[in-house]
This record gives sequence, C-alpha cells and structure tokens, in this order.
Amino acid sequence: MTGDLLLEARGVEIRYDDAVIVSDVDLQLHAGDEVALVGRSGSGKTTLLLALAGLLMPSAGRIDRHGLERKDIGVVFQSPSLLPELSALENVALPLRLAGGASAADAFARGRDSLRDLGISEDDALPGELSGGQQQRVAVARVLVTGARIVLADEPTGSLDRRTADVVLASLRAHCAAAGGALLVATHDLHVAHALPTRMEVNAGTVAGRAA
Amino acid sequence: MIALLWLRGLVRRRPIELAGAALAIALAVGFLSSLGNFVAVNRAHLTSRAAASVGVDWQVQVAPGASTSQVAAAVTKLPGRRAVEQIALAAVPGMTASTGGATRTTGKAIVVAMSPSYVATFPTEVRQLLGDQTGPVLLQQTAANLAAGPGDTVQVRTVAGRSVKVVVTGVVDMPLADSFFQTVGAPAGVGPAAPPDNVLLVPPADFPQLAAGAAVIHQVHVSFNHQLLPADPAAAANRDTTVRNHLEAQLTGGALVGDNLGAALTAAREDALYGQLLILLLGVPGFLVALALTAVVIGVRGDRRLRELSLLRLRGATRRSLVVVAALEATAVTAVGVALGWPVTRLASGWAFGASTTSWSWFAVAAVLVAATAAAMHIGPSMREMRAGVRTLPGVRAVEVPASGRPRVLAYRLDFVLLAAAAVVFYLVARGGYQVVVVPEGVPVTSVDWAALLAPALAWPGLALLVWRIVDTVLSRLRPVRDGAGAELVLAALKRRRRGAARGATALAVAIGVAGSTAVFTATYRQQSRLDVALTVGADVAVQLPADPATAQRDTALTAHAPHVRATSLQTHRFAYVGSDLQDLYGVDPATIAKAAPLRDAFVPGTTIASDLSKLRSTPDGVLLAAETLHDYQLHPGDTIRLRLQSGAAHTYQPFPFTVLGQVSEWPTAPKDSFIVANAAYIAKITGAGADTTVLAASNSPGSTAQWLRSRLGTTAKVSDISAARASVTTASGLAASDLGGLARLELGFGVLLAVASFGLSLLVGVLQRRRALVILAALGATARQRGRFLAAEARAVLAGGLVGGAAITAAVAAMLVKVMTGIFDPPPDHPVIPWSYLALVVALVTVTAVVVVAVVGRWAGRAGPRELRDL
Repeated sequence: MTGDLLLEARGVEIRYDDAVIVSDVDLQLHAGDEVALVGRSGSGKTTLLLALAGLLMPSAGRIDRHGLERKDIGVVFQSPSLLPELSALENVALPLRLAGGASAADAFARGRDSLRDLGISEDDALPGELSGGQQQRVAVARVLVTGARIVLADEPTGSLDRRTADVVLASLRAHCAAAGGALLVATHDLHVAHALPTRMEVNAGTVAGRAA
Repeated sequence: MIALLWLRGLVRRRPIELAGAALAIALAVGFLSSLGNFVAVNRAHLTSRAAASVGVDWQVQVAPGASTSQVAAAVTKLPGRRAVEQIALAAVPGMTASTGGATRTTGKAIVVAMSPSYVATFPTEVRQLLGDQTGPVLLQQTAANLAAGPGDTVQVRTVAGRSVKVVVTGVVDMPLADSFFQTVGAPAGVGPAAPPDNVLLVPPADFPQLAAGAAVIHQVHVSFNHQLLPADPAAAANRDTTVRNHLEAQLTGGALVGDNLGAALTAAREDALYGQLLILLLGVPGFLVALALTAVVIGVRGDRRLRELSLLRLRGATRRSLVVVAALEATAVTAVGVALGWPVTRLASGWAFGASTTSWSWFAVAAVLVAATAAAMHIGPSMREMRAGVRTLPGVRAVEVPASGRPRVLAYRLDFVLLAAAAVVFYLVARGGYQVVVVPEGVPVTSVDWAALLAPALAWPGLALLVWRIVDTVLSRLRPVRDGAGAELVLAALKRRRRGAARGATALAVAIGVAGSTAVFTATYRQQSRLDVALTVGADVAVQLPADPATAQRDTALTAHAPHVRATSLQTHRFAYVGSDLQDLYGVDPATIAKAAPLRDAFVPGTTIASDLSKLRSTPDGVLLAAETLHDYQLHPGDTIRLRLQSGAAHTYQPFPFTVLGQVSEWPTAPKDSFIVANAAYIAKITGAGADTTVLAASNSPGSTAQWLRSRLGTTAKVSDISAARASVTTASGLAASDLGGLARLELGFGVLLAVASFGLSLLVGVLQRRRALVILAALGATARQRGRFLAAEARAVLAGGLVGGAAITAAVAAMLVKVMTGIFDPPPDHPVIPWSYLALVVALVTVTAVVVVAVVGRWAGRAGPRELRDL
C-alpha cells in the first residue's frame, strides 16, 4: 500500500458472446503501485485491462476510478496501434490534440520530448517506415505524453529486444513515479514480471493472487 | 474438398461482401447487355419505322410505248409483294368553279385516275376530309382555290380544248404528295419538284375524257410485306435494291422504279450508324466505369482474401489448391452476378426503350467481358502473391505505408499528351464541314469516319488523369484553415492518403462525366429536334392563308387572337431567279418575325438574328442569301444583286435590284439548300402581286391553339402545329428523338447509379480500410465527431474533386460530342443545353451518399467493441 487509491475493481465480470472472459475480479491500484499482471494467453489479461481503462463495460461488478477522468488513464496496446497516415510525432501529439487542451505547437513540442525520452529521433517517419520496436516505443511515448496518472500496458515489450524493453519499462515506471500514479503491465514475460515489485496472476479470467 | 468448405465458410461469414461483388457484376452485365439490346431493337425499329413512313413502296412508272399490263404482271410476281394498284396522271390547263356567285379558275392542274380500292390499299396516301370518294374529289388546296366542295360542279379544261364538267363528291388531303407526284427517274442531284396545288382525283372510268390530248403517265404502285425485311436497315435497303434491279432487268427499260422504300431505308442506314456511334460515344465510357466498379467491389475483399489464402498456405495448402479456392470464389460470385444480370437487362431494357425481348448474343458478350474482369480481379492478385511468396501473419498485420504518390503515368505527363492529341484530332476533324457518317444515296456501302471518335477516345482518359493530377496537387498543397481540434492532423492524414482520395474523386468525376455529358447531349438533341419540327412547320402554329384577300384578313385576325398565342407575323413565299437558279424567296416583317418564329443566331453565321433583322428593317431592298449563293455569285454584303420576280397582272419575271445584307443558313419552312429572305412589304410594293402567305404564330400551347383555329377556319386555311407534326414526323436529321430517348434513359439511369455506386463504394472502401484507425482513435478518446472529421475530410475532398472534375469532363465531352455528332443535329445548336434538374439530382444523390456513408457507416466502423479493441 503506497498511496491513495486510484482505481478499484469489485466483482467485475466480463462476458463476450456468452463466454465469461473475466470473472469476479477484485483489484485495487494505489498511487505508486507497479503491478505485473501475469497469465497465459487467453487468460483474460487484455480484456481486464481494457475494462479497467474504461474502454469495455463490465457485464457485472463495478470499477471505481476515484475522481480520475478517462484521459488520466493511458493504455499501451499489445500492438503499437499507430495511425499509419500520421508521422511518429503526429501520432504522439494526437491524444493531446484530441483532448483539446494543447495548441498544435505545444502538442508537438511535448511529443518531441516524449519521443526523445524513448530514444526515437525519427519524428517525421511514418509508422510503416519504422521497425516494430520503434513503433512500440512511439506508442509508449503517445501514452506518456498525456501525463496519465495510471498507465495500463498490454505486453508493451513483446516486440522489443531485452535492452530496449528495459528502457521502455524504465520509462513507464519513471513516468508513473513522476505523475504520482500507478502502472499495471499485463505480460507473460517473466523478466518484466520480475522487474516489477508486485505481481498478480490471471487464470481463466480470475485474478488468483497478489504477490510482492 | 477444401475449396467447397472454403466457399461454404465464405457464404456464412462474408455474405455482404459476396453479395456486393455479385450485384456489381449484375450491374455491369445488365448495362452492357442493355446497350446491346438497344442496338438490336433500335435497328429493327429504324427499319420498321422507315418502311412504315412510306405510303407507296414503289412507284413503277411505265415507259412510253411499254405495256402497263406487262409491267403490272411482272410486278405481281415479285417476291414479298403485298398489293398492287394502277394509277394514271395527266396534266390539264386548268379548272373552273362557279360558287357563291363568284367564278374562280386555277392554273395548270393534275388529274389522277385512281380506283376506289386505292385508298384501302395505301391508306396513308389519301385522307378523306369531306364527302366520299365515289366520284371526282378535289385536293384540299384546290378546293380552297376554287372555293368548291362536295356537290359543286367543276369544269376541267382539257388539253384537247374541251371543257368537261364533273360533280365533286369529296375533298381530300394527300399527306405524302411530295413522293406521290415525284418525277420518277429524275437524274441524281436534281432537287425534288414541288407537288401541284391543283389536283383532281377521278375514278378510272372518268379519266380518258379528262386526259384527252394530254401525255398520260401510267404508274403501278406496289407495297411489300415489311415483315419480310431484314431487321438491319442496311440489309433491308440492299434487299430492296436487288429486287428492284431484278425487276428493271426483267422489264429491260419498260419501266422506271420510284423507290420510296429504298430511299427511306437508305436514310435509316444513316440513322442506324449514328445510333451505333452514340453507343460508342455515350455507352462505352459508361460500361468502362461499370467494369471499374466491378473491379473495385471485388478488390474490397482483396486484402482479406490474401490474408486468408496466406493462412491456408501456412497450413500446408498447395499453390494449386489456393488458385482453385480463388477460382471457385470467382466462379460462384460471377455466376450469381451474371444470373442477376439477366433480370437487370430485362428491367433496364423494358424501362428505357420498351424492349420485351433480350438479345442472347449481347448478353453473352456482356457476361464474358464482365466475368473475365471479375476472374482477373479474384485470381490475379492471389497468383501474384503466391508467386512472390507467402505472406506470413505478422507480415499481413504490418503497418501499411499509406499511398500518397501519383500513378506513374502522371509522371510521364500522359494526361497532357492525351489531351493535346485529342485537341489536335478534334481540331482536324471539326475545322471543316465534315460528315462523321456518309451514306451515299443509291450505293449499298456506308462509311463512318472512325477518326472522329479518336478525339473523345483520347479525351476521356486524358481528362480523367488530369482530374487525378489536379486533385492530387490541390490536396498536397492544402493548409489548415484553423487551429484546434487536430485540424492539422486531419489534414496531414488526408494528404498522406491523397492517392485514394484522388482515385475516388477521379472515379466520381468520370461517372458524373458519363451521366452529365449524356444528359447535355440528349437535352441539346431534344431542343434541336423541337426546333427542327418548328422550322418544318414554320412556327409553333402556322396558318396558310387562302388567296381570297377578305378571308385571308379574317384568318389573320383570328390567328392573332387565338388562345395561347403570344405573337404572330406574316411570311410570304414566292420564287425568284438568281441568275438562272430559281430559289425560294421569303418575305418577312423584320419587326415581328423574331417574336413569332423560331429564329436562332446559328441561322446567321458570324452575326446575330437581331442584328440582321435590324439591318433588314433599315434597308427595305435588303436580302439575306444562302452561303452557296454568296459563294457561287461572288457576292458580299453591300453588293447589289438583281433578282427576277413575277410582277404585274401578267405574272412575268422582271428584274429588281436588291442589296445583299449577309448570309442565312436556316429559315422557317425554307428548304435546306438555297433560299432568299427579304422584306415582305418591299416585295409586295415592287411586284404588285400576291403570294402564298402564312401566318406564323408563337403559342404557349400549340396543340390547343391549332385545334381552336381549325374549328373556326374550316377548310379555307391549312393549320399546322408542332405538337401534331412532332408526333408524325421524324426530325430532318433522321434519328428521331424517341430513338435517342431509349438510349438516353438507359445512360442517364445507369449514369446516376454508377455515380452514386462508384462514389459510395469508394467512400465505403475508405471507411472499411480505416476501420482499425477509427477504433484506435476511439481508444485514444476521440469523440464520434472527431472521428467523423477524419472521414469527412476525405469525403469532402472526393466529393469536391469529383463534382468539379465531373463538371469539367461533362463540359468538355458534351461540347466534343455535340461537335463530333453535329450530323444528327438539324439545325446545329447555338450552344449545348444544360439539363440543370438532372445534374442537380446527380449532385444531390452523391452528396446524400457521402453523408450517409460518413455519418452512418463511419459511426458503425468506429465502434470500439470487445472484438475490435482486443485486436489493437
């Protein structure tokens, strides 16, 4: 328990096409939490993450964000999910411009800084012109630039080499620490799981336990 | 086995995509097949209409000294002969009638021996107006000249010097008098003689005493069974010619054939060729758009199909089986599409030109062409991919690099090259008086100047590529007009996807160009057809006044005050000699003629009607002459010309000086060749003689005005109007508006459909291709409105580019079509007519399509459900 309660799931169940994907999940994220959500493929990690981000409505149960808005929660998707017709810098500036709080110049300046933090200098390159790893780092930069207090990352290092994965993970952790937020990383990469102080295991849609 | 399983899966999982492809195929097959159907139906229609327009198929004139009965016997043996009647004609010095206390005498008259059965055999030749045909009957004009009717006695002066009295039993009209009284065997190039004004039809028994001393012409009139004629006008004309040659050879100079049927079929050959040219010029671009539409619809599933085939390949399927799978999908979709194409053809052909049958051969051609396109689109990319190597799943999911470049052909400036070539060809073709279709009379060979089609053929792709270039250039240079809400990002995305936008705009522009140019062409044709009929009649309503001045004055006043009449003007007609050339001379009132008659600036090359009439008003002795007269006699404006006109009581030709004012190419009721327009008042003053006078009237309702006048004027004046004439007369250019109407309906119907389908589809494809991007935007917190902006920007670009480009293509192609096909316009138009209502409908429909696709489909596509989000 390291700080204020930011996000809380109680008895969350998510059904899809009559199949129960996530069942009776209770989970709390406090400021300063860095949690690895581990489990096999198909265990429901991604679905749970999407529900916590507010992108999916739970079929049952409740998710409280304790005063946080949707823009305060950033999501790093399993694949980079960049808009192919926007450059790396434009992709990063996009959420700022959609939220409407930043001018174009400000958004691009912040985006540029965020890309530099993740070691990307190809601001004008289109996603299709970047390697898979570079694309993933741009996707991470796109989340970090928003200043989100909670970052939910789905396999953020899946397509990265060890060294780059470490850089990305360090960036995510540094961001959350600076924002006074929390980090929840869904992964089946044990290296990542062990790098984080807390681990939860998802098994057949249920969160089996919490280990420090 | 794997292929069948695959197909079953497709039907279950991708029914909409398969149905879309089948419908596109049905549309393309239906369009081409309907066009082919039109060709077949139109040819047969032209043949049957040409044949039906003839009152007497052949007028076989017995040569002097030959035996009429021998000729009649030979004619009777002709194959396909339906009926044979004998007539005889003789010219007499004149006729006299004393009625109502006045005695009236005609000049030279023609007496025709005609059996009572003739009217039943050739019903269109003689129309009974009053009384019956049991005895002598007068032609309407003759009855008016003599003021005689049924029961009156007419004295006929014979060549032998006797006076023979006959009692008139009826009054008739001879609608086809021109051909009935033609000079059979006149040398080629000699213009047709005017039919006589004074005609008396008598039973054969009465003829000998009336024709005593006169040279008698014997004719055998023949009609054939038109059902036996070949459907194609050219083949029918050839058949007619061979039968005629056979008869003339058999009679060895014993008779000459006035071949009315052959003349009508020869004209129909020209119409048929123009019809085919119209198909090529209007139909082929439309069909190519339909084919492109088919290709695009099938291409929508292309990426997904490749991914699925790659998966199959990864799971061990052989290359051959992959091709079989792709081929099976192509076959199934094409079979359904072609099957649906049949009812589409039936419906479209029935709606557009009332066809109840469908040409199997054209349907087969359409099916093969469209099926080949569909197969190429289905199998081609699969073959290429399989050759290039298997796409692995990660490869398939790799982020695309949006296509923003131009097609390679634009780098080579192919658009400019094509347009320059089209301009040169068009200039060469259009600079002089040329005929795109040449059908020499009496020669079985027809020819088309195919080079004339080269200009539009080059212009179509040139204009399409130019639209692509312009849209691409404009999009690449766009700057955001406002900051905020990510406008610069929307614009950046649009710029990088501009290849798709430019392609969509080009497709829309071409589709609108097809619909628009057809609409402009047909609207222009319709207007000119109406004008042509009005020129034939003289005005909306024309009243030919009787010779009696008092009655003429009364009829003039009645016409001026008839219902719906806006303006009237008197026009006189007489003949005048220019050198040795006898020409029609029209006397007009320059102050009123423009309001009453259909006059256009195109009639007076190089100037305007208003200007020429003003000159005529200020120059009483002024004349407007035909180009041929100006050229042949080396005359220029300001020159003096001496015309010989009949004057005085003796009606002798006397020379009178006139001042040449300029050139005139068309005039109401005037013949196509040479004629003269002058001041009616001046001519009346110098000649002191009367002339045939017609009241020309502009009416808002020609039919009802004419009906009103007929009921009040009786038989004293001949009343014509354009609504009656339009129903019975094909335009002087030959191809009737009804012929073009079928093609126009087909083209305009499919044009709208293609414009909406190609535009809607191009937007739909864009939306579907960007579905993942829309879901990403939703996941990043973009509102539906913000997501809509990304789609709307592209839709707006495609719509604006397509509409502006379509308008440009419509203007260019329509102007070219009107010029290239100028032969079917008679008279040539001042300028093309723009059918605003149809064009507005096209614009409205594509705009509604854009709104529906962006608002409804875009919202659906941007829905971030569990399946879509898990895919991120």
